[in-house]
Amino acid sequence: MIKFNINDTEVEVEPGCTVLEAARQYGFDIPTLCHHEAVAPSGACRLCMVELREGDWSKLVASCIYPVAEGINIYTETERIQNVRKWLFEMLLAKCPASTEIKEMASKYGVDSTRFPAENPDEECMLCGLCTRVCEEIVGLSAISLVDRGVYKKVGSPFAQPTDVCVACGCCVSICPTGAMRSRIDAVRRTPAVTLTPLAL
Amino acid sequence: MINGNTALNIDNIRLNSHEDLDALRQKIIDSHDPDQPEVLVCHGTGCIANGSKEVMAAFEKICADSDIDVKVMPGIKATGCQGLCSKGPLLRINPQGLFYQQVKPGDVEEIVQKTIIGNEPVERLLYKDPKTGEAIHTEEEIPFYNLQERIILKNIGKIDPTDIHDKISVGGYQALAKALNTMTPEEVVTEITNSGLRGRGGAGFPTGRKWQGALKAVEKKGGPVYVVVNGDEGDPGAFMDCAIMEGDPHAVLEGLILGAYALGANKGYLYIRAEYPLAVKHLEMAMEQARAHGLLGDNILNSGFSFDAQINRGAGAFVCGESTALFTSIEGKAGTPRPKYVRSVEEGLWGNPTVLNNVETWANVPLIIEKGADWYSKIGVPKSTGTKVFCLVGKVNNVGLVEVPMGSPITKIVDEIGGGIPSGKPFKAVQTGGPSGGCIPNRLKDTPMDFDSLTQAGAMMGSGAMIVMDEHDCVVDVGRYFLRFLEEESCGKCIPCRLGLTKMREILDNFSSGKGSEKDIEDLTSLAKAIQDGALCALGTSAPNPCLTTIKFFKEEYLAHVNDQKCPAGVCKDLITYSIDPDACTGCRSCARQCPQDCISGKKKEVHVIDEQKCIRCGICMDTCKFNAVLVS
Amino acid sequence: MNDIPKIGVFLCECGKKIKPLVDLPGLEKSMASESDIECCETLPYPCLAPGLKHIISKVREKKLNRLVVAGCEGRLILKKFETALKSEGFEKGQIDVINLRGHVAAVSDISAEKKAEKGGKLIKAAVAEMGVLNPSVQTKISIDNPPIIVGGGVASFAAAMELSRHGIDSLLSLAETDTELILDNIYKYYPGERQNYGRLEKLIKGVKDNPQVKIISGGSLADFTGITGNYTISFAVPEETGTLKYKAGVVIACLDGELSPPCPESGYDGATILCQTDFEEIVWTKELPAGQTVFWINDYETGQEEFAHLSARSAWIMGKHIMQNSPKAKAVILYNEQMPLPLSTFERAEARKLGLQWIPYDKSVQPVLQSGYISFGSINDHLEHELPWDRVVLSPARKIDKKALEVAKILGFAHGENEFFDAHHARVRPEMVGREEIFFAGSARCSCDLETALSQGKKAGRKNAELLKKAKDGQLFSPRLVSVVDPEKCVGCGQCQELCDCNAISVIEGEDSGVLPRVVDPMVCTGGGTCVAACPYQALTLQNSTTEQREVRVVSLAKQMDDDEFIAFACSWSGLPAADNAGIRGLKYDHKNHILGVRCLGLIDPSVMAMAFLKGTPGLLLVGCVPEDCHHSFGVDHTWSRVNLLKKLFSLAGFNRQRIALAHADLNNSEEFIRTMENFSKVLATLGPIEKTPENIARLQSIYRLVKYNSRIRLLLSSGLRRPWETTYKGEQQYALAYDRDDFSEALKEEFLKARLEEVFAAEKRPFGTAELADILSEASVREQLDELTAEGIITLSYQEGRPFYTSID
Repeated sequence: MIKFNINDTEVEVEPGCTVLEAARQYGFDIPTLCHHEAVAPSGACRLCMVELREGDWSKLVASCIYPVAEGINIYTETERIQNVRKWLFEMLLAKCPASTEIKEMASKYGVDSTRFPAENPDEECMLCGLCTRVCEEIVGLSAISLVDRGVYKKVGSPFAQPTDVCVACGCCVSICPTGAMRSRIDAVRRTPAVTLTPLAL
Repeated sequence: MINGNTALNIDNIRLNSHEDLDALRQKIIDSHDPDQPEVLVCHGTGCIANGSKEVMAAFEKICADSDIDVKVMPGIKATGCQGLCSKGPLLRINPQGLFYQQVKPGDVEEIVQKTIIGNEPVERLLYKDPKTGEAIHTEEEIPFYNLQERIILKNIGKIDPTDIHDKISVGGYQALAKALNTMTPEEVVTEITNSGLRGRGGAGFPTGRKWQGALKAVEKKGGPVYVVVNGDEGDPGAFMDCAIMEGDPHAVLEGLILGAYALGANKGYLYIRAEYPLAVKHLEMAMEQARAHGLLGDNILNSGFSFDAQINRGAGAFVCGESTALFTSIEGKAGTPRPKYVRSVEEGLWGNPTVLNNVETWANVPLIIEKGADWYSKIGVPKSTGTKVFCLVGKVNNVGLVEVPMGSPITKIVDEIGGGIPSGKPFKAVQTGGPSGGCIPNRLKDTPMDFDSLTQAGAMMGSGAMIVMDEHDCVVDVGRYFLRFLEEESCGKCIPCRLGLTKMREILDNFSSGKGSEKDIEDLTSLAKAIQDGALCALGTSAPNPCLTTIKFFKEEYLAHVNDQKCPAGVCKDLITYSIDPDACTGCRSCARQCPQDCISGKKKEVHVIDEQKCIRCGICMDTCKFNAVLVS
Repeated sequence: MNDIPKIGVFLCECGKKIKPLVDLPGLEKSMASESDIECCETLPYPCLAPGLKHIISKVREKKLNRLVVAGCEGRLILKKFETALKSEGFEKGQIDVINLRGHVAAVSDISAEKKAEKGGKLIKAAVAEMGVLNPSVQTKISIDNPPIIVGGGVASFAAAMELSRHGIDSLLSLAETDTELILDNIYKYYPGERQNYGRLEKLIKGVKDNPQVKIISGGSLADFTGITGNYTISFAVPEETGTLKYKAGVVIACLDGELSPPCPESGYDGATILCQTDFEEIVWTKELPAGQTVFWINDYETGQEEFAHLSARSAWIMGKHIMQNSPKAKAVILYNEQMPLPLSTFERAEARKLGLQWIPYDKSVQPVLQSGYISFGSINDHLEHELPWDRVVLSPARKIDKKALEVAKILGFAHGENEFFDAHHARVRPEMVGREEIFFAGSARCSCDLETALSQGKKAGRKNAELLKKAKDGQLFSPRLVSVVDPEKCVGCGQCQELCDCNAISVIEGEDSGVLPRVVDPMVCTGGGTCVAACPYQALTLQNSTTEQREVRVVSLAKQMDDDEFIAFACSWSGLPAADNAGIRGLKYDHKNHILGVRCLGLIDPSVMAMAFLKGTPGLLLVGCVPEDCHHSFGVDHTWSRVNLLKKLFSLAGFNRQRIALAHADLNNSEEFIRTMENFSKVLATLGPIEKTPENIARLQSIYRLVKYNSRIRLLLSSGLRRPWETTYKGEQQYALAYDRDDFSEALKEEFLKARLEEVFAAEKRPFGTAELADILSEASVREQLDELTAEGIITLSYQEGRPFYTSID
């Protein structure tokens, strides 16, 4: 067992756990967007940053991927973290104005407005990549992936065409933390949603 | 190509021992008449762009056509970058060691007649001292060269990079033979550790410690270990890795093989950006020739050690220079970084221990093994040993490749070797380390160029680009430039980098159009800190550096933008106006003719006027005016 | 480890998503007191590393061999538990995840205690099912026979070569073995490919000289039986009597599509208006034509626009060839503006240099052929232009040829009329992903060029080599969720084979001739399970997900339910994700329904439906895919028939037909799903519960008995499992309605009456007179049924005072 401290409270977990897992086990609150229990963590959203301190020295690490180690001191609510979070939420609010999930989470951490102008009022996707990871890791298909890079990055199927590889299992819709996949899946699956037959009574 | 070695017919001979290598070297040296003329045409990127290929072709044609005595029939070689890029195409003529600059194909006939046959210099092609105007004959006499200490670049520009025999004749693969014959792998690692060599890729991690880390990881978990060359040089203004790979590919290869021997690796990768086709070609040729000579592949020099390498071409993503992104790219996936809480020496390529070093680092290895750690560690300063190759670019007279001992002050590089700023203007700042580095202002120009001093100054060594700026460079604009570059190059995986850089750039955009406030500068700093703290890989965490250092050193310039709506350097278009100094204007009409907006009016020989409403502030008038009559405010 | 079920239950707090909404301590307490639950614990996050480690330690401590986790969406999280517990011997099916968060906590406003109660019902039902789970033994698949390549397409050679490269011997069936003849005919399938003939010839010779390839020639494919690893393939040889039989482990089908001249209406005359295949032959074997050749890429006009680029490539190669080699020849390629030009930058430059024109024409103005000219609408100036021609070359019509069709039919590829095979075959169903199946290469799959066909062949070779290696290394296992046939029970009626949409079921010869039992190829079975629900004799079982398991689950659930609660089955492709997503979004709906997830509605045996009613559910809702979207092809259609059966029986028994309903959902439309649930709730609210009178119970008992055990009805049902518009269904169906109206309904009436009689005899073991029986059942006459029951030996007939009396035997 590995003993270490979170916010000056001693915790104990088995080796191989991440800081986030340990924190969740002990009920410490750490926000995440790109983390989902079902798939491997990727460390993309950076909301789960925690501060690692040793004497005067400190650094921020992504708790979802940082492995626990004996005797480390982890803090989940420091000024540095709050600064990172504040800016992340401000940027996300500008990027994904349509996502109520992001709005709620930002508000919970005290960010209700953003200094940045909204880019696309209908945007919900913040490119956490959960949809592509669930497709690859759980469904085993990779029907969708993150296309392009940097500011042009988006989620999509090859050549932005509906693809046969997609089996319309809907895992991507279920795992999406912002609800963005709902409006995207029809562009991926081969048979678009048809008008549903009324209840056959 | 006329080449002395082809006559020897000793190609493709497998070498089976150190003695074989020495014998071959002797044979090559013996076959070469030291008095026979030799023309070395620089084929660095700058010189090729200026027409060195045509110069070379002219030489071959004229030598073949003219009736030259066999004894003076010159050997003609295309070499790697000879360094003084701003004066290309460059030419070196042996045995006299004459150094010609800005040679045109039309000059070749004269060179052949005068220098090759007549053994006298062509005065007008010689380098002129910018201060005295005196002609200088040889490279060794030129301050740009003789102030440098060239150990990595020693052979570049003097050998034909496509011919292994040229390399062998100057001592190539001696270090490898020495190590395989007389040193254990552990001794090689110890030697590198003792030399104090630090990674030349930017962060300056001690190479020896990295290697030891990999060995420990192998011990712990077993499995294969890989050695990888990072040749994905992407910093704007940096081209030293390119020059090394193009000009002396065997140095990199020999270093890699030595590293493989030290670490027990049997497989290596050279990750080279696809924009360097010549580097790829030269390394491919080098590998092929090395294989044929038994210096690469199975049972190297009959020592029982086998190692082979392959080239992977990067598809032009800057982020693939980051180690983990580079690995994912080699693995065949999209090049995105992965979290690095476990070091790549433990889990690198395919999760196996991997040693990734920069091109220049690998090129240092043979030197250390051949001449010893003691020799090496005496160069430079105690914590940063050896030399460093810098790319000196921007507002500086001698643009080119510069190699100096670590710890040389900026002023030595910029003012002495670089020959100062054109038109004698004062130097404002130097940007080191590319987009991840920072700006160092004039007042810190005595800062020694070594890893720790630069980090202390808020910049970083980076791969070694030095972009010199004068008073006409706006720091806000510089910040915007680098942010825009990184915005395009961010892999987009983590939010701080993907969104944050854009947001920072947008704030700077506001500054340059006069829409900012002092609060924005605070926000910018705070956001920059969040990105430094939050981003996933080094591209992101270091991305705010250029902006932060300029805020630190040139805050008044930022304040001028936001408070006075002025751009002191006269760069930010929305904040400047062009006007014509009536006292200086001669009414020559040349600015009016060039103006794309037709907004300059005035009759011939009368003072001209710029219509500010129509002016788009392109600055063409200013560039055109020979009388410095166009003013910017 | 699987002898006695030891079931552990773990409840998930899931941060603030479950903990504050459900009374977990209460739930834990009530679960822990259940006798069939070994232990029950609540964990902050069972799915995260500390939670998983704790579960593993509990599994070891309590020797658990079944787990039920009440947490979130099983579709997402189950795999994590399965992976983590693999080392503890848990296999697929031994862990069940209840979506406590999505189906209970988030979707209604009832109190935390009520939610705990509802969650408890679902958990107990899952536990009951786990109790009767009989985990299958993992079976290794061995492939000892060589691969066989059939169909004779050109991809065969690439496949054989690739297999040989991997050191694998193979059988290669060819119609033609003479290399020259093969090459002479290739242009008929792949025009404009002459530049590749050198390479192709080398490949063919290489295969023919290869000692690892055994060539079978002369015969045509006649029969194909068996399962992966052990196929028997017969070839009919005309000269000889009987057939040649070969054993094969895997099959690669290489079939070429047929190219034929376009219809005469297009102007085709074979002389000056030619097809590309004609033209190729002339150009390369006869002479280079002088004058202007117009290649009209008319695939858009013939309705084969997806192949326009292939025709355009052929035209480009031929046009280039004639212009390079004859100064008198000129080529123009006329193409529909909708087609993207299939040329590289280099080739465009080449075309410009040669003066070979590519002219796009307006898609809304179809070019018209006339004597010496072809007119077309220019997209540049919107005028009609005329192009002079000396000959016009048209695109070929592309289809599957008859021979290929026949081979495919024997191999069991489903397809529509005149379609290529890829539409059906290459659509890999989820369960097939990464699974091994018959490989298919060549232009009959979908028209393609030679390069693509060969690379498909090569890929098929490589994939098979991988498969064989895996089998050789003992690493090839049959999937866990597949159907198996009990040869003891199978009578060889063949219904399952008819219904199976994945061609997994075939014939094996029985011990004694006469009966030909069926066998399921586990490597092909997708586990959709409709075959299991359809088997009249219950000879089929879906391993680890049996009808018995489902019956037990509904029994457990129904017994716990209040009168106004009901059961809803949701398929894991539509209904379940729609429900999950409703939970994620916190959409509210009636808590009175209990959702049970199944892989496909098709695997629900009518007996499960009947059992639910028998044990007290007032209604049953089945939510599946939209018929065309069913992931198991016809699972939802078959369910329709089964629901219909129940409805008919309800009519006969005097219950309201609306108590059972089929509905369709889309995973992305949770609002619609909720409307479905709410509407059904309303229907049930007006109907109220089925009163538990002895008569009603007896009737429900009869219905259950009938749908479960009556082979006549089950056989009639399974042969009627189809819908009139199913054009792709293999069987005859024009009599479907008549059959349903007359034969089936009539038989149902008879058999239902019989079942009710049986019920009476089972209840009381005394002699009944005919009049009394008719009276009890309120029927006019029961004579016929009594005779049948007597004949079947279920009752005995005796006479008292000359009147017949019937008594139950045993």
